[in-house]
Amino acid sequence: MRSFILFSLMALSLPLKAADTPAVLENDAIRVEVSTQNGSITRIFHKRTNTEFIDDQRRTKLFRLLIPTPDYLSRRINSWDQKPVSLEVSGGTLVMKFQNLQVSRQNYVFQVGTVDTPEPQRAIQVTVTLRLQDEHILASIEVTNNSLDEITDVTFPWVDGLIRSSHGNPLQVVLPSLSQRVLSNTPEFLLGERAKPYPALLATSWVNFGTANMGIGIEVQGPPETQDAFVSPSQNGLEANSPSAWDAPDFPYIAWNFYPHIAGTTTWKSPQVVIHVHASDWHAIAGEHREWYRQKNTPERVSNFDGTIGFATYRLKKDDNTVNWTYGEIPNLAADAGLAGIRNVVIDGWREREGPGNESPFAEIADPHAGGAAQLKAASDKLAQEHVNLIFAFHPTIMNTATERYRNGGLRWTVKTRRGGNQLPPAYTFYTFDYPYQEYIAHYWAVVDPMSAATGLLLQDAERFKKEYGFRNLLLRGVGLQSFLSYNPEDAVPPQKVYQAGYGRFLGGLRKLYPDGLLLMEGFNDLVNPYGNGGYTWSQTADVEILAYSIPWTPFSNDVEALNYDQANASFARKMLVNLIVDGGDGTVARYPDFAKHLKGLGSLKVATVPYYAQAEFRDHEGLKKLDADAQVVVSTFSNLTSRQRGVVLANLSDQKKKASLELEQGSGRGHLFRLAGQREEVDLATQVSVDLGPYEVVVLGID
Amino acid sequence: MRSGEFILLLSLCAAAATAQAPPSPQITLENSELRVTLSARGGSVISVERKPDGQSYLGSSQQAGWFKVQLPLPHWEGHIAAGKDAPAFTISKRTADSVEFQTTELSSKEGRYKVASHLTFRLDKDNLVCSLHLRNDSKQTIDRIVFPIVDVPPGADGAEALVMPYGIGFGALPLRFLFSQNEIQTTHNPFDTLDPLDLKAWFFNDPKLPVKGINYPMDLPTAWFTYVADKRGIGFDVRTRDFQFQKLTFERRLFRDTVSRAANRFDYEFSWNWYPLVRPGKSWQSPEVYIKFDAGDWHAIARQHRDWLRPWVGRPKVPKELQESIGWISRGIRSFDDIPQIAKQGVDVGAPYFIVYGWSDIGPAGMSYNNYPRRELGGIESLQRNLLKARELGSYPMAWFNGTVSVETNLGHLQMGHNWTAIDRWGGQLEDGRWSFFEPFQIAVNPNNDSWFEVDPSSGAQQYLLDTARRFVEDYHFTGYEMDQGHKNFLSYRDHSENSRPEAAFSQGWSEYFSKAEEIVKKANPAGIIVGENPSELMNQYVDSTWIFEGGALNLATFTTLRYSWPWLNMPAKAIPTNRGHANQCFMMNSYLDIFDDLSKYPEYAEHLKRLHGLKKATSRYLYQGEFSDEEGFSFAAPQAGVMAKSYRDPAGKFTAVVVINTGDTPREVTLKPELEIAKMPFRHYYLDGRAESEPASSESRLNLGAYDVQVLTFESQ
Repeated sequence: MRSFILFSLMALSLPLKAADTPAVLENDAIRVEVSTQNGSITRIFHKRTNTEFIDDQRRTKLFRLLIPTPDYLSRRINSWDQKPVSLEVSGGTLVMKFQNLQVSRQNYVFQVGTVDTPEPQRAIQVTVTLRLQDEHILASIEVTNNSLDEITDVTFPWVDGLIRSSHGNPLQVVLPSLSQRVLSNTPEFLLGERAKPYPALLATSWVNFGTANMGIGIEVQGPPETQDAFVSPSQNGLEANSPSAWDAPDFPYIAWNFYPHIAGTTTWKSPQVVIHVHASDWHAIAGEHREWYRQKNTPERVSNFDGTIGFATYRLKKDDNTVNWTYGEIPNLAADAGLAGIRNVVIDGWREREGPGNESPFAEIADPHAGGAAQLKAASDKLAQEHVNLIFAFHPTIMNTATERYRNGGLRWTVKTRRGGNQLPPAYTFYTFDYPYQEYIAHYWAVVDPMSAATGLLLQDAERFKKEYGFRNLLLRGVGLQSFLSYNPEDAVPPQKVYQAGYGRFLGGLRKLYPDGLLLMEGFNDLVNPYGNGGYTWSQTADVEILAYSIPWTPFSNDVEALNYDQANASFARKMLVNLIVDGGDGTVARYPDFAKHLKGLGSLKVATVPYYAQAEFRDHEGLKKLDADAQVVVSTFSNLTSRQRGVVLANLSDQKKKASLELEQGSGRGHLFRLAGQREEVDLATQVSVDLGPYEVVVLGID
Repeated sequence: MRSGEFILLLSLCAAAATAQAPPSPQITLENSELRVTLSARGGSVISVERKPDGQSYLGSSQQAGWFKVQLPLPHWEGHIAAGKDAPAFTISKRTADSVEFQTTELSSKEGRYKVASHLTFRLDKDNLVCSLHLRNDSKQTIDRIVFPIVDVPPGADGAEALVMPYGIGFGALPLRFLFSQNEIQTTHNPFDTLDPLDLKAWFFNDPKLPVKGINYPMDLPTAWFTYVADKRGIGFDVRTRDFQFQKLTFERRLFRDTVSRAANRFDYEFSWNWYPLVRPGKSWQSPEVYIKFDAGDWHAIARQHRDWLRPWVGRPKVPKELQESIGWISRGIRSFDDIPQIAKQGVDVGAPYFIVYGWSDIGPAGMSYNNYPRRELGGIESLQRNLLKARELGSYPMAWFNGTVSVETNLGHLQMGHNWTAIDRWGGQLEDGRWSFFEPFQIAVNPNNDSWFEVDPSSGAQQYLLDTARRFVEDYHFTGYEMDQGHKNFLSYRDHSENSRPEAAFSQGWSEYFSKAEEIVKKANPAGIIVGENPSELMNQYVDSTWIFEGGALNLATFTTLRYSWPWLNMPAKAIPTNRGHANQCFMMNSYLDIFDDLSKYPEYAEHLKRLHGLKKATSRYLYQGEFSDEEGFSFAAPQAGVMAKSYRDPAGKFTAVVVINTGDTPREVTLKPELEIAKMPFRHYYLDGRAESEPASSESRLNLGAYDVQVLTFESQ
């Protein structure tokens, strides 16, 4: 009764508008309309480009809350099922309030379909605030939970009903992702609606939907707790007449999903969310978010690789424990890497047992058959004296369930899903013919919960490595691949903070143990980057400028195989570290002397151009007024924030001669053209700069 | 080789006494079709020549030797001893077209191992038939044997291809496209699967991984393949009768140039992998593997394997009701009271079988243990009543079911299933997939993840699954069921007894299960059927048809290869109610239509199905007693757009039926020309409108095909 009276009073305070008259926020750049009936964002109009971003009113939304029960994980509260109790626009700010929220009556029965089920209201209050600032909608949501249910997820903002094309150009989703950075409207294999986990797959927290000339995006300005970007660029692969399908495809849309786990009688307010509406491509949101992050977190530029193009990776032993090299041969491997001018050497496969037979994560033990701890330490010490950084792989993230250690307590230290089971590791392929990978991947691994007692043991291991094996640097396998929620009841933090807090202990602990060493993260994101010296990120090829532009202060790597001149040059152009990995780590570059020489030349070029390139930040094409480059020529600009010097890298990815010409926006005076072979030329920057590039040549234009 | 040289070699070889060192470094086996030269040191193949046309097969590919044996050591599970490294081979027997080698030891860089091998070769037409016997007197247990191994060059035209009985996406492309031209990687890029719904987290073959493995009988549903390059075919026809787990591996061997990628060279290595546990003191005998050297038409090896299978392999007892049907309908129900009405729709068009989805309590949280009638749809009594009502209408309702996976957090798993899961070589449970992501109305997020394990059918699960099948048909009155993922077959090391056979756990378990389940279903109702997911030589001996997720696309090329190779198997396809030509193609392939749509919305299509059903009833004898024979036995005088035909032939030669279809809306006239022997037979001409006319023997027949027409001509000896 009390809530009914409150509801009535609130309803009276609604502005007196016709039922279908929207509330409006407007400035010089954009106009936003919100339904007074359910709070959905029904119109986003970009005035400068005359673009309407929403064209399907039936699908418009604002937020969704999830209140799962063990047998009904998708129990939810949809904003479009609610009516705001108040909606006020004042001083360019719109505030909407919702109370006593109705749980969705649309239940789904597996293979049956949707059924309408009576559901009660819940004593939950939601306040949404929208404020315009030039081409931005500053948004936040506050949820007060006075019900007995825990609200696990808050999806906000949910910008739905979006257009699919603009002036005949299809819109694409762009993400700062470690894989599939650009998503188009192509039929998906099963479901078109996707959750892109941050911080893991997403290096940082934004998503953009647009073309080269316009777009709308969501940027979240908050800590790296576990979240997801929701995107739906495509329709489902499941056809509507399938008994396995449950709803009409909802696409396209973008949304953000928080996991605040709002318990009863508590309130949660989202971090600031910025909806960008712009007349540009993804660079607009990426650049603004980058600068927000810089201002908020003052990340230090990693300089460890200023004098080298990257590192080489070797696998001493295969997953079936076939030995490629013993510890005694590590100096030879380092010497081979040295042929390419590389003095950072990643050593994997060093453990006594590799593959699914390893009692991971508690079997990081030197192999007596490869020389034992003494030889391992001898190699480490010897190469340290020669200023070679050996970076040993450490595997702290997955737990082998086939071990006594797991059965006798280890199972308490794993990440639990909201179904109560073990979370599966992120590296998993359901069906593959790749052999023998297909056998290894079917093995049942669990994921180590970094908030569990396992972290203490792993830190002890890391200390032992230093002491017994002489390790000075580590590659942390798996750490950047995941930031799962963990519902492990023994954790002392809520699920969404397990990785943030757990890595604070684990990676923070490692940083203290190895204060001067290199810590390479297998991964590259806002969560792990602050603890490390770079990301070990496998192959990063398509659209990689998105990543390099978004987080320019921490380096990340790209795998380069023997004779892959193009990948080496592409890495250089995007300032990615070269991970020289021959035959998957089973070979060395010694067989390829010309290629080694090429890599060495790239290293020398990097050293010769330090202020223009190595110490500068990647800026893609910024600062170029005009660019005319042959196919297979990559041109990137760089900006040194300290010295204000600039650089332009021109990289020929082909074995043919190529040409490129460019004009600078602020071109004056003379520039220094550094060539791969070591020559240096002076060029006039006031006019068009034309450069002839030899096969696989890379040049750097230095601008003071 | 000139004949004089051959005679000299033959003489030398024949003179070699048993167990004596060979006097010559080469041995030549020869018959009317092949000339095979082997190294006298271990039998490595040096050359193969097809005599009728002088085609040479192996080029300059360096042979890796015929076999490898995996002898795991405590610190090295992948420890291999290769036959080619054996200390000494001797020739134990020799004829003009056969030879046997033996060795008493194998060796690796770890030392010598008392594993005696006996390698046998003989020629049979255009096959080099080989087998291997091992006697393990070492202290290690052998747990993998790779035999045979053949290395082959790429096609000069760049179009070499791998043809297998079921396409799985490889057949259509040149084989080289499966592989990177320069890069080698050993695992997948983990970033590619961080969104667990990305395609690469479900199905992905990375070109950088140079070896591909295809499991028999799960992915290679019957045991042959052929590698076709430059109009030459090199195929393995593997002759096991117990359906044990085996694996075809093929490796792109890269010989990387030291300077330029453009100068890289490569070839391929084809291997067959066996997974017995050959314990100390025990022996192992391979079945015979026919290595066929032919002109590159896959029909030849498929036919050869089929002819070998025919006399002994099991076949499903497909009831007449299914034989005469055009397929089944598939529908989710919202109430058990819906069942009769939906069932009748199927009966009316000749698709009386009805796969009922959504009838049980299963869901994304689990499959195997919740197969009980949903109370919210009416409960058990309503289900029973409505199933019986549907049956009275002439329908055969079937339960959608999956008993092959056990979900970690499911109560049934905790109570029972944890003892039933397949165990891998390292003692871990085998992961099936991440199906729990499909929580409706919730975008698939990682927190919804759960572990789904493979159920080992040789465990106590078998009895549970049989009890479930019995409950379906005897208690609920279903007339059969769909066995989701029924084709799966893995190694399982859960049995630690002395004579355990990890390679046979699934095969024996499923053989027992399916044979008993078939009996249960047919006993309850002779018209009852089981359909099982995906084709498998093991499963399809017992189930009445394959079933495909979401109905499946009609891929004529793939279906043709599979049905020609394994004519006792039927492949369904999802009905497209706007496409009568598609329905005709399904009829031509004798593929059941899996009908998901409400046919009341497609009256023209429904009428067409009724006509097809009439024709099916009239001709089903030929389609089932005959074997699908692709385009054998006939030809067209001139091809016509949209006109297709396939034949079904009695293996004893008593009849040939030709199904001729028009897939388009334009009437066509074609002239069908039977082969000479067939043309001597009178034939009966069946029409889509129900007519059937007897015709005298003729060397050609003019057929007038109306729009979307189907006609069947049956040539039969008197």
